[in-house]
Amino acid sequence: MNQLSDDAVMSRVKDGQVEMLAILFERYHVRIFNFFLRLSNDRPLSEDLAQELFFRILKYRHTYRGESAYSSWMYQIARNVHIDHLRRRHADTPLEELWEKEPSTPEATPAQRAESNQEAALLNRALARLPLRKREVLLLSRFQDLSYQEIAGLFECSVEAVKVLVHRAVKDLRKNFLELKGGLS
Amino acid sequence: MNCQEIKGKIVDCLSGGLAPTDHAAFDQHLASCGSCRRELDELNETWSRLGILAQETPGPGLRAGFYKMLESYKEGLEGKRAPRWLRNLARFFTLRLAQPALRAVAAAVLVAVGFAAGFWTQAQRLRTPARPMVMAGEAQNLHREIDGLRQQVSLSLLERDSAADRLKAVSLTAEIREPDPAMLQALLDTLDNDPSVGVRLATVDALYLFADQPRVREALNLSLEKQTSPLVQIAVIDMLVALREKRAAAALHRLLGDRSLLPEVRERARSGISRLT
Repeated sequence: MNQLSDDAVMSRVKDGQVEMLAILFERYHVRIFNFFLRLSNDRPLSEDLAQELFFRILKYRHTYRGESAYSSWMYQIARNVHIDHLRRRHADTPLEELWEKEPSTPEATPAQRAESNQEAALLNRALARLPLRKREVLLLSRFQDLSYQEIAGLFECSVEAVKVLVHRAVKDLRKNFLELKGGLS
Repeated sequence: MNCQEIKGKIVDCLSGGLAPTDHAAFDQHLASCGSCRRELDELNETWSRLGILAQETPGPGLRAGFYKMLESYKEGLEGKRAPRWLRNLARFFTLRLAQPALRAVAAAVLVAVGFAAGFWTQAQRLRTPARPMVMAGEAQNLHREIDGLRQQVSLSLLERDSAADRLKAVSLTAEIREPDPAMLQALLDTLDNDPSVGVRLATVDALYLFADQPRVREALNLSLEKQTSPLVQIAVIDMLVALREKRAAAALHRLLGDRSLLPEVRERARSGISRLT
């Protein structure tokens, strides 16, 4: 059963074999959790968002058409779940602003400062300083194995625009990382 | 390739997607442009460094919560999982029918199925030019008859004391093509008054199929204020938002005026308003 493609499994879920969703959960929940975690830096919230994602897959299973890869469809829902969360949390801020502006990252805690020599901790903080749109595109291309074509579909823009965004995101990440490493934070 | 074109290719190179046909021109430009070479090195280093971020493991609560949710969902949909009307009817016949009236309805369904099979078989035998027109009419009549029988079965089951039976009734309505006013009214009454949250939730889903009828949309709007279960409140809100029912914004505003509203429902209502306005 585990040899079935994602599309084949999702088609069965759509046809009413909802228990088959467990296969997709086992395939994707760690990756999805990490996607939300890198976006939010909040473990309990990321678990809640992952849970909400799989609930929505069940609830809106009839909208699955199988025209694009299952993962693209799933990440579209994941983005919506995250956007809805942002709308709830920042009801007074326009969504566009949330996407584009640099987040106000809190000062490093003593524990974080103690481990600041660890490259991973610095990189996480550098990532958290990226505006949401850049962080999202970087996570999808670097960690979620989505092609630029698929990301363009999610963002409803051209492949070239995605490449420009990835280019800028990596560049800004490097700048943030070097600043933090140099003790400029 | 110029420096501007190379930027896009650098991004391809990072993800390992540089087209083989671009390799030669890419390498040629880098060999002669120190600035682009440096940029590639820097970006490549950062891209590779991201690899040190280990994938984290979610807590056991996520898996436990998922399977619990899946189980609840399955239970809530029990009966809907078999979409074919024949399967639904077959399941109905396996019920322990306690009431003579229900047995009579069940018998009528069997008779109707028999007639349907008869008509179709006859149609296969008689392939005269005039026959297809007649067949289309007959088939339509049969669909109407079967719809009517399904509605009778549903209405009977909706009156039963057992929540499981009422859930079956709601599930059966998914197979009805054109519900008559009495059937729709029974569903709307169930949405507002059924004592079981599970039945009311299933009814919200069932009404989605008939949401093209203004009467159903209107009733969903009005039902918002009548619901007391947060689960049903959220389901109705989601449904109205999914239907892009603009008038629901006013109903959601009224709902927000309820001080006893749970925070989760309040958030969903606010989110619904922002999507609808």
